Amino acid sequence: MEVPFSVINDIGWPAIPSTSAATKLALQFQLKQSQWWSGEELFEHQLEQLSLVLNHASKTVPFYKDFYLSESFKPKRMLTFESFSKIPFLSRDQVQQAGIDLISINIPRHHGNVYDVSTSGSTGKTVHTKTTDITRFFWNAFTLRDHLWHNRNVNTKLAAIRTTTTKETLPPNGQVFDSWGPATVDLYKTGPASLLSIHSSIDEQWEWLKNQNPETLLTYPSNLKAIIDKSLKDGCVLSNLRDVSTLGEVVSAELRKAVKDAWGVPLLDIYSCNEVGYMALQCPDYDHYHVQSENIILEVLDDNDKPCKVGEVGRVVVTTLHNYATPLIRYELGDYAEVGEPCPCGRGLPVLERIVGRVRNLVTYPDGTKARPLVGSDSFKEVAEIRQFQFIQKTVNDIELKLVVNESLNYFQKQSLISIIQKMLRYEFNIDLTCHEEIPRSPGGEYEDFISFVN
Amino acid sequence: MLLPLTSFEEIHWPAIPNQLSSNKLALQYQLDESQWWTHDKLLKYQLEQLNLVFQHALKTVPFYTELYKSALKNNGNITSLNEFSNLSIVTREQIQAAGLNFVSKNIPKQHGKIYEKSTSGSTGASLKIKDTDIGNFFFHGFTLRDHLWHERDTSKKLAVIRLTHTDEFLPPHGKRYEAWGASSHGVYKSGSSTVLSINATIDEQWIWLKKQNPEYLLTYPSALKGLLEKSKKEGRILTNLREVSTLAEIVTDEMRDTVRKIWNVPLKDMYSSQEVGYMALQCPDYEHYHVQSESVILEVLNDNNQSCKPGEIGRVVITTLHNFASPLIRYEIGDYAEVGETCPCGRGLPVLNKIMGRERNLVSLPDGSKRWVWVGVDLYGDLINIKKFQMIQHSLEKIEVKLVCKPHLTIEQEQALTTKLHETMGYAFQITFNYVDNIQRSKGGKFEDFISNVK
Repeated sequence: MEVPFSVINDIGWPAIPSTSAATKLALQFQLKQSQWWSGEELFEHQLEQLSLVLNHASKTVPFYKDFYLSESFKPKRMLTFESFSKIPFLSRDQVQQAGIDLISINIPRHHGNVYDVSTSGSTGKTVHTKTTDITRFFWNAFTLRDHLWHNRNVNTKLAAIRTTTTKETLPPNGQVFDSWGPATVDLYKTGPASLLSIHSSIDEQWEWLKNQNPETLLTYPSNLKAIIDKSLKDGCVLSNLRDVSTLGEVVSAELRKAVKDAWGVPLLDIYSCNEVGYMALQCPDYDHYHVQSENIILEVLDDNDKPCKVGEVGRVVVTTLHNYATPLIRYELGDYAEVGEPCPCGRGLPVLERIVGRVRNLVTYPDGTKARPLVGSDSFKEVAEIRQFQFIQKTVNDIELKLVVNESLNYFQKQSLISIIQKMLRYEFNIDLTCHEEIPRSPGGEYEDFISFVN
Repeated sequence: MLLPLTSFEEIHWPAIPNQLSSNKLALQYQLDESQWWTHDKLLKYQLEQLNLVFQHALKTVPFYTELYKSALKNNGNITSLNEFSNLSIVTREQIQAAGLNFVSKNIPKQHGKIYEKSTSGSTGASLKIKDTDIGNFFFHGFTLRDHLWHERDTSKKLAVIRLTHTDEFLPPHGKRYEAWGASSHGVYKSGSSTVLSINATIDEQWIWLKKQNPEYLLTYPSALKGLLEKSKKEGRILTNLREVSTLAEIVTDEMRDTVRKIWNVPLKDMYSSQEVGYMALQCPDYEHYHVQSESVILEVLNDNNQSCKPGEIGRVVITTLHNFASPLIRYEIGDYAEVGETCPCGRGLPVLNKIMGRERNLVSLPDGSKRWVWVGVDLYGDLINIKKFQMIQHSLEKIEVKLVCKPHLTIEQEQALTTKLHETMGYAFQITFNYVDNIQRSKGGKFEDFISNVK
């Protein structure tokens, strides 16, 4: 990624990029500078930006209008550290319950198209929000920052094994794209990207990966662990591989070591979620994470709602800075994180030593094969309002699905859910639905959305 | 830290700049990267861009078609520095003689409007070439790099004293602009700028400057010298001043010291010319210069046309990389420069220790050798009534010293100065003193301390 594409034929370097590519680089130029700002300087700009969002939210998002009134919170024109800390928290339950009331009734037109986002997040609690072209623009910018930070050569092959929605991504071939996607497409010469559905057995994934022999692999930590085990058994490595990116689940030090030992490449983790976007990226020089302060305000708070000190673990509270469709302001995501020391790399972006989020086991099929299960689905909401869930595989045939629901489910709802789940897991497991007041986290603080007791 | 202006009223930070500003920042992004590249990497991209401009020149610029009518190897494709250094060196006289034959018959339409650039130069004979919108775009790109390197706050006031062509720049008011100019316009918040003609007397300049009280001052070293003396005499400084920029003439260490001593601000020099644009900018961390390798290939050659080593002084030969109207390929600009060691700042852009001026600023000694003459306070430090000082070498034996000085020097002072001059030049020239009312600048606005008429 040395020189961008130029739209002027005979000016190759420095390039004069296309309109959209220039906008992307103009943002990277800013991110390149702001990464070195002090925490205070970053926060000052965050508050300035949040003041704009808060003003918009309190005027045009019905939920916030009522919520802030009921909490006697009056948004000020310009936020200070003190007034910021008085903004009421937004719980995941509130987001679930607010429904369309959390959508702005006056999304600025020039923010472009509006899109739906639906996610179970890392706690099994599904939320529905909206996003715009502007939010996507920022999303892509942080994808690009991740590539730039880790010095990825986007002119090579990327292979991703993840949740997909189309049949074309099924094994044995998966789907091949010409480029790495919108973050880089009109900017740099990119290699192909190939995508395989996570609905593939580990054997199928390994065969596909060997065939692809990519330079970069993107997948979920639980799945990665199984692929590594397979590769060790097979005695074969991916000869072109340069780095592995992970997302969506907790990464352990053991997994980083396993990747290094088995394949000799680094694991580069990403902390993101669908409704917020990128929250933290792995430091280019260390294994910990830098908060993406230009995208969000991320707080790690203790039980008294005070910011955690270095070394303390607290709950993650996130504020989006550019989503004018569904602004999430002091949103309690449901994850926990440990605050890190200032990074020796010199970047002023705050440090998270580790993320305590979602842990997922693989599902085991009666024939002994394993796969990363798909556990959340949009189709749940067509059946019932499910606030939280957790799968527990007890035997190769039996799975318990723990649910937290607003209203108890009738027979038909239960049958519909079972059918959806069997389809998602691609096997007719015996599904036992149980209802609960709350589903607790594991003793370590992680939320386990799929627990397997099958060896 | 400066923040770009945004085109979205609700997205202040990071900003989404308008299209033109995005293009400017996309260039800055690239320059921010390439400044750290190694010499080899810079050369690789320079050669790629050179081939585009060279092929264009061979095909469409009659002067080059004629110059290279005998077959070139590989159809003129240049693959190494060695091949490049075999190309002919083009002199100012050749370009003058070529007239319209130095202009491309097929300037690419994509490069926009065509402009005439004219430089009178110190020898008086004017040089006329053409350039395009693309050339201007890059020119402004390097102006902006200079601002960014030296962390100028463009929201403050800039005062400029330089060559102008119309009466509106005359004292007592000069001309005021709302912004600093095209480089930062629209990109960053801009303060006003104000321009005074260099034809104003030093007294007029000083009165004007005190009234303007700018944060930044841009002028010629010779004008600066007069202003500093005036300021010292009056015991007044410019209270808002943060930095002085200079261009077009030689800057000595002594002048940098004087600016620091009297005004307590740094001096930042730049090396540019009308026909080429920026050639070298002062390093943000040191007082030497970095060649602007993304814009020009700058060679410093000895008498055998070999590249000078660090510490050696040689002729500057320039190749422009983006002017497709009048490409300058190995153009001997007439200046001399001293090559520097690699910069400890880490930038890979080559270093020039000093820009020395032109050949006619060298004194010719009877033994056939030539040397630089530094004229400054060292030479006439205690003779503070000397307002202007210029030496003209008429022959190998005779040097005329022109003085604007009231009252005239005493016989003893003249004798003391003669002795110092003999020591400085290493030869006992016949020195004559000529008291005049004023000493004119060249047509290009430059003031030369030493002019040799010896051929």
